[in-house]
Parts: sequence; C-alpha cells; structure tokens
Amino acid sequence: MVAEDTVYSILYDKFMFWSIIVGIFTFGWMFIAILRYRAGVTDESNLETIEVGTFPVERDNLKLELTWFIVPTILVIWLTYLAFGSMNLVWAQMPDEDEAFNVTVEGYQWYWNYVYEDSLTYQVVDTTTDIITVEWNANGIEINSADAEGVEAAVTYGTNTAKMNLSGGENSLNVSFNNSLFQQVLVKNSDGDVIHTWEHIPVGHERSDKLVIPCDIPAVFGLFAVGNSDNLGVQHAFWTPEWGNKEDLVPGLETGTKMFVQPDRIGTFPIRCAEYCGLEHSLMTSEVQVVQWFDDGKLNDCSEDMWLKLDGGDA
Amino acid sequence: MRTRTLAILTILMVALFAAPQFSARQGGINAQGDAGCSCHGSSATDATLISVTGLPETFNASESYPFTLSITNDALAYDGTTGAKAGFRILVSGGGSVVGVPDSITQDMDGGLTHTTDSNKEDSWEFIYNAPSDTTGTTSITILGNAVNGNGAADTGDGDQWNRIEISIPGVDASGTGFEAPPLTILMTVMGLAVALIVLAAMWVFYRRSPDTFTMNNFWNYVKPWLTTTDHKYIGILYFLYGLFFFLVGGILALLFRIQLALPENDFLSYDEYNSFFTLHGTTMIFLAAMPMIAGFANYVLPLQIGAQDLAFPRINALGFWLLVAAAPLIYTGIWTGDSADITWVMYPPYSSLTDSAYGANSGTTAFISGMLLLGASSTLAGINFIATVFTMRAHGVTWMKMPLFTWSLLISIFMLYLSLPALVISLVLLLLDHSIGSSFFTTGGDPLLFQHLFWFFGHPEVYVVIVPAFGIVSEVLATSARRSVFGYKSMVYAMVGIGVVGFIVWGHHMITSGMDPFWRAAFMITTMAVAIPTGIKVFNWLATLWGGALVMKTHTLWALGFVVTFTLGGISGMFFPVAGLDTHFHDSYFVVAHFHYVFIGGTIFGMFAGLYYWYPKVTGRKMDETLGLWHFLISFASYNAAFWPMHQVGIMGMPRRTHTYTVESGFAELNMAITIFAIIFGISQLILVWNLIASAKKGEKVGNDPWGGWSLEWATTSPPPTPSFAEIPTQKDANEGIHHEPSAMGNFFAGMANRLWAIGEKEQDEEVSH
Repeated sequence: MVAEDTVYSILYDKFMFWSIIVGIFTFGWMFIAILRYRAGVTDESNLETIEVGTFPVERDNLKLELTWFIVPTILVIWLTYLAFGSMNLVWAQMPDEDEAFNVTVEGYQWYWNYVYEDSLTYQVVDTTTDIITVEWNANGIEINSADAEGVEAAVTYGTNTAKMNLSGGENSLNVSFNNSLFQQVLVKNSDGDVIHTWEHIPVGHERSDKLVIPCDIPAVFGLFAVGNSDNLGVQHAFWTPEWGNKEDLVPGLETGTKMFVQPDRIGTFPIRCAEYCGLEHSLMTSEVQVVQWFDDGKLNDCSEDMWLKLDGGDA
Repeated sequence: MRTRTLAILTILMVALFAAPQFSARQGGINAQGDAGCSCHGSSATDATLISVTGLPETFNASESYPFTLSITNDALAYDGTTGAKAGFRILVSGGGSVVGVPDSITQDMDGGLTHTTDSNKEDSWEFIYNAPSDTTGTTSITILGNAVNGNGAADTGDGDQWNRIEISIPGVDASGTGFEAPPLTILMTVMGLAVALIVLAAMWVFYRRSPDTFTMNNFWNYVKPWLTTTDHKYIGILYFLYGLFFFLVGGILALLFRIQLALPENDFLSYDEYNSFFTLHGTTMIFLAAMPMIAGFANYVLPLQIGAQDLAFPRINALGFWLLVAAAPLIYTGIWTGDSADITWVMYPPYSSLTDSAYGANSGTTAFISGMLLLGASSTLAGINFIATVFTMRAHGVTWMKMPLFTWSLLISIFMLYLSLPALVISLVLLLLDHSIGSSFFTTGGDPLLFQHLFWFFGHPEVYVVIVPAFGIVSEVLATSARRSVFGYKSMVYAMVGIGVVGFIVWGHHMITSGMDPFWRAAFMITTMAVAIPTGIKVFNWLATLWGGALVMKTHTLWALGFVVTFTLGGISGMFFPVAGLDTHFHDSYFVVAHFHYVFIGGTIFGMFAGLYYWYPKVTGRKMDETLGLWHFLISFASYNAAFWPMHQVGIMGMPRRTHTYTVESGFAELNMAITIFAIIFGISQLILVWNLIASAKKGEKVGNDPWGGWSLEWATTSPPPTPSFAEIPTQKDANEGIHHEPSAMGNFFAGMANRLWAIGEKEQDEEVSH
C-alpha cells in the first residue's frame, strides 16, 4: 500500500468513513424507495393529479428541507475542519533549512536531476551475510572485511575509479577522505552482486540516476523547472507516491516551489512526473532511496515514526 | 459588402496560418529539433566536412556495424595541442542505437549522444551502430560535427564551425518508397470517408423512395432545409446528432489508447499518437460531444417548455451551430499533417506555447487553439440567445417560480457559460499569440500560472455547465416516472442557483499543487467543500420525490436512477480533492480520471441518455424500443462501473494520468487490463443505442402528445410539434391556486423526525429559561 502512515492515509480513512456512511444512507434510501413505491405495488390513490399544461401541486416541507440543508452543512464543516489539519502538515509547517535534509530537484524534459544542498554519508547493506564495514576519517577510508574471499571493491573517488580485491581484515585505501568529493565504495561478491554500498555525497553533488535521502529527518525539496536553450522549460510535478505528496515545478519562478516528505522507512520508492510535460512525459520516472546514514559518524537506525513527531498529528 | 467581408476573412485566415511560418523569436520559430551545435555559432557551414565510413546500405536484424566518424576543416588551424579539436552530436530515430567505442567518449544529453570534454581532444572516433530487430523500418542518423579553433571557449562567431549530415539506413525488408501514414491519419481519413458514405447512403435512400422522379435538384431540396434551417427543432436535432457523432469519435479514440494502456510497456501507439489521442479525446468529449448534446436538448425542449414558438434569435442560433461545425475540422486538422495537437484539453503553457519540435507542442496546436476560439464564439452566441429567450418569451403563466426545472437548469448553466467564457477566450487569444508570434504572456517574462487561473475560471464553471442540465433532466424524468410533482421545487431551484454561484469561486482546487500561495489553497478548499451542500439538497429532494410515489420503470427512469447512483459516487469522490493532504496524492493521478468520468459519464451522459429516451417520442412521434433500451442500460451501466471504478485504485497506487505507458514493476497491469476490457464493452454497448435510435424512428410504437404523463408545456403540443411549435401561445395553469396540500408519507416521516429534533432543542431552551 502506498502512502502508509502519512497525512494522506489518515485523512483518507476518515473521509472514506464518512463517504461510506453517506453512501449507505443515500443508496439505502433510494433502493428502499424504489422497491416500496413502485407502480402496481404502492397505493396510488392519494397521488397528486398531473395535468398537461398545469404546474402541479407543489410538495415541500420546510423543516425537512432545512434538515437536509443543515445536517450536510455540519458534516461539511466537520470535514473542512479535518482538511484544515492537513494544511499545516502539508505546506505551512515547512521544516527549517537547518533541521532538514535539502535537495534541489530540477525537472528537465524528460528526466529528474538532483542537486544536493546538504552532504550525506550513508551505507546500504544489501545482503544478510554482509559483514563489511567502511570507516573513514581525515586519514583515509578503511574497509574491514572479516571473511572476504573473492570479494571485490570498486572505489570511486571524485571522478576516478579503482578496483581492489579485499583480503580478510582491514583494507586501507591510499586516499584521504575528502568532505567535498563524491566518494563511493561498492563491494561485490564473487557473483558480481553488490553486497555493500558506502557513499559520501558532498554538497553540490549532482545526480540523475536516483535520489538518495536519509531517514528520520524531513527532506525538503526545492523544485525548479529547467529549460532548453531558448526557453524556460515546461511544467512538471514531482510526485512521491510513497508519501502521498506532490508539487508542481513552475517555469520561470526564480524561488522555485517547495515540498517536504517525512521518510522513516528504508527502501526504494518510485518518483513520477504528474504534470503533462510533452512527448516523453511517461518516461519521466525516477527512484528515491531512503537510507540509513551516518549522523556525526554514528549510523542512524531509522526507528522513529516521523509522522507522529509532527505537531497536530491527530488531524 | 459581401466581397469586402470575404476579403477580410481571407486575409485573416492567411495571416493566421502564415504567422507561425515567420521567425519572430530569437531562435526562429521553426527552430530544428536539435538546432545544431548551438553553443558554437548559429548556422551550419560547409567549411566543416563530416565523413562517415563503415555504415551499411541496409541493415540486417539486430546486427552491429562499427563505423568511424571524422571531422575535418581546412579553414581552421587547429592541431589539438592546445585544447579541443572537434566535437560531435548524434541523434538516432526510427529504431536502432549508436554507442561510442569506448562508451566513455560519449554522454547522453537531451536525447542524443554528445562528445565529452575528453573526447573532443580528437577529431575522429569509433562507434558501433546496433540495428533494430524490426527490419521493415528505416533508421535515421543525424550527425552534427563541429571543428573548433582550440582556444577552449565555445565561440559563437566564426571561431568554431559546425555542419550537419543525415544518413538513412533502411532495413532489408523496408518497403522503400511505399506510402506510409500515421495510424491516426488513416483512422481520421476513414472517419471522413464514413461521413461521405453516410451522405451517399442518404442519397441512395432518397433515390430508392421514388427512382423515377429522382433528380439532384430534388435531393438538394430535401437536404437544403437541414442546411439552412433556423427552426429550433431542426437545429436541436442537428446539434444532438453532431454531439452523438463526436461522442462516438471520442469514444473510439479512448478505446485506442485504452488498448495501449492494457499492457505494461506496450507500444501499440507511439508517444506522439498517445498524447494527441488523449488531447483530442478530452476536447472532443467536452466541447464537441457533451456541449452540443446539451445544446440539442436546449434547442428542442426549452422553447417548448416555456411555450415559445422559437428562440429569440433563430438566425444567430443557426450561426452558432454552423460555427461549431467549422470548429471541428480545425481542432482535428493537425492529424492530417501528422502533427496533431498534443497539449491536453487544459492546454497549459509554457508547453503549449513552445514551437520547438523536439520539446514543444506539435504544429497542429495552432489550428487547435483557433478551433477552440470558434467554439467560444459559438457558445457565446448560444448564451445570448437562450438567456434572451427565457427572459422575454415565456408564455402566460410560466412565471419564474413556475418554470419547469429543466428550463431552470439550462438557464443557470447557460448563465454560467456566458459569464465564464470571456476568461477562456482571452486566455486562448493570448495563448495563440504566444504560440504563433512569440509574445510572452505565459512564457519567459510572463506567468504560466495566469493561464491556469484564466482557464480554470472558465473550466470549473464549464464542469457545472455540462452537469446542471443533467440535474434538470433527472428532475423531470424522476418526477414524471414517480407520477407526481418534484419534491421541494423551490429548494431545487435555489440549490441550482447556489451551485451556479459557488461554481465561480472554486476554480483554485484544480491548482492546489501548482505552487499557489497556501492562503489561497485554504480559501479554495472551503469554497469547494461548500459545493457539496446544494448538491446534497438536490440528491435528497430526488429521493424524497420517489418516496411515496408510484415509480414506473421505463428506460429513462433506469438511466435517471443510474445517474443518481453514479453521480453521488462521483460527488463523494469529489469531496476528496480540496483536502490538502489528499489532493497532494490524488492530483493528476488516475483517481482524478476516475472522479471526472464518474461525473461526466455517470452524470452528464447518463442524464443525456435519460433525456434522450424521455423526449425521443416528442421528436419523432414514436417510442424507442424498451427492450433494447433495457439491454443498453444494463450493459452500459455494469461495464461503465467496472471500467471506471478500478481507476480510483490505480490512482491511489500511484499511476499518473496522461501517461503513455507504465512498467511491469509498478503493479498497475492487472487493473488496467480489466479497465480496458470493460471500456471496450461499454463502447460497444453504445451501438445498441445508435441502432435503437435509427430503428425506432421507423418502427417504434406510435404515441400521442403526452406518452409519459409529464405536465410541462412541451407535452401539450403534438409529437412531433408543428412549425411554429404552438399554433397559438399556450397559457400555463397552476394547480396550487386555492389548494391546501398534504405532505407525502416521506414528508410526514421526516417531518415527525425533524419535529422531534426541533422539540429537543426547544425543550433544552425551555429548561435554560426555567433555570
């Protein structure tokens, strides 16, 4: 199920509840009326006479009509009240820049490009048998593998890539960790499957293959439509079905638009373009990967329920 | 005078079509898809030679061909010692692909291969051309080569010189010079031929009636009244048939792209075809099908209901219809140039104003927008006409609060149309200028959101313009079928007026995720929620009408009851959209598609069907076949719900609308297959209606003036009505004069409930007082 544990899912349940009540009431009334008051079944003697060219006897009942004016109005006010709770959660409570993970999302025809405004160091453990750890400090990057026969590590350092075979124990790389460079360690087993990913994404890093964001911290996306040589580009909408959120990218809007999500579950989720943007609109898809990350050198465990942290959570 | 008008019209038309041909923008309006090495000067030069060796004459299936690309330029003294020597850009279309050897000498950029900063230190590179598996196609490879002076900068003068070559490689089974046309062109040509065949068939029928006396002149005399008529009844029939024809055309378009969507990663339609199909489907269904059908009912029934002999301005009425006829070919014209409009029915700029063929809208857009403008003119004329008719031509006794509800619904809907149309026409004119002469109302320096506001200021009332007349039809049909008057006539009228007024201040809910200020999103949220109240009143009044009546189950009753079910469902799902937390997920997803098909088909079209079965005897003097009608209802209603209900689910799962295809992993496949199957059944079931319409005109059971027991004045005249529609202006009587009336059983029940509720309130008040 998409958009689990979000503003969306809770509101959806509440609205569904009232929809079903309205539905049962309306259709129940209608079907009982159809069954009971059919021609030949019901008593037709006290029906009004309908004559051609004569405005028929008016039937109305002020109290009755007021009832089904006032009761729906109360329901609508209640639903509006529910809806208002979500206003804050979706737009007004945009997290502070300092407390959030900021990414600039650029919409091109027809792909997404992500520019990191904050740096991110993370690891993804792809198999249960993985016993590899990657440590780094100003002196270098160290890969520890207790039992790593036939394991190969591909190390990317800035624009350079090197391959090394890991031996059991510590494997030090002859590079010093640099906060402003993109650094990646991909460890593959003998079958060539990736079993361990470690990455450092520096501020200003651009990528368009996928969006990687950390868990347990609100992610704020600044959305910008980027044009071609002689125009400002076209509209797109950045949609993350996992969190039930989307926002348009408005060409020419210098401050861009903003949206935020509350990732608290690791995994890879789809990103889609929801606003028609031309020929290959349907191919404008991407992925967002939520990862455990190193917060001050300590691996974060993704245990928080981000949604409950929000004020006014009981919308 | 006439010559002058003709001359002006000709000049305007030439100007309209010529405008896009002139370059008014910096980059030229017809800028090539890939304008070339645009960062190195503006035009190609022969000084740069591009040579390619190794490409085959024709390709075999899936074979790989290595080739070498070299760029030479004698004019530039470059030796590669100081920097770059040359660059390339390769665009491949028609299948197959080109990869560099090694792969790292190229980078993907904007849909083509471009050199990298490393590889432009060379002037010769190796590539591999991988042929596609389909050997009937032709691969086109465009190579742009640039020779640079090596100063390290992208010079725009003559410092760097670039050129272009194009190479076509047909497959071994390619048909060569055989005629090829896009499927859409063929489809539309077939439809054009169908229309011609219908005309020929009409001639044949006419000929068969009296072969001896047949002359073209006779035939012309038979056709001419239809082409020149100003009688509201004939124009009404023309409007309706026009709407029905485009309902079927739009339906066929929908079925074609449903087939495309049935399977994941399907390639039944190309991107371009798919985008054009859904654009034309949306525009056709709303402007060429639903609106003309409503205009048809309005033309035929409205003057009869108010006891008028015709509309106030019969000739303007005819002009309105024939403008509509002129608009349709303009809207569809892009199809025959192979470049049909692909800007969606909402036409959002900047996409719709871009003319760049790689990233912008197709060239058919110019004519498309012009056609939409004609529709605007047509609707404005109709608006003037109907408003004037209702205000000035009501018969004696037809006072404001004694007017049939269908007339009321039309008056309200046409008022809304008339007041909202200027916003559409203005936005269309500005968009046409943006698109054709490169002004910038909605693009660079302008505001794309302005268009959205203007469009939806029209667009949302437009939604009510097509649904409110259906309310009117259902009110008439349900009351007549229950053999009684409608419950709460006055509150019905006020509810419709309420919908009409609120309808003008809710447009922003279409733009809740557009980057609008959160304050306005909140404001539109409240107003939109408020629409539910008058709509609820209408639904409850219909149900109260049924309660205590004696319901006669005719086909039109079934459609009206079906309308109540589906419209209520569509109305409930509509309540989900103004909510911020829900709309951020639902906006532009299939949930929206499901919702508006529930109100457009389940609301407007079902209402139209009810009206069609209801007033058909008035138009032809014969009933439509009830058995066929029952089958039409059962199959349509079941398959309609089966087709559109799952769309809610795929929307929630995350399927965006206007998407040409989806991946296997997305999990949308099963539901989409089901939707397609039921959509096809729904489409086919409409043929029952078409057959019923044709067959019943000849063989249907003959009826008198008032076959269903309706009270309004259209049932007072003969079926079909004479011209003018009433021999003398009738007078509507009023049964309420001096009659004390009892509330119905339902009324008694609820009045008792309400009394008790009110009594509780009063008691509490009393207690408070007594304290």
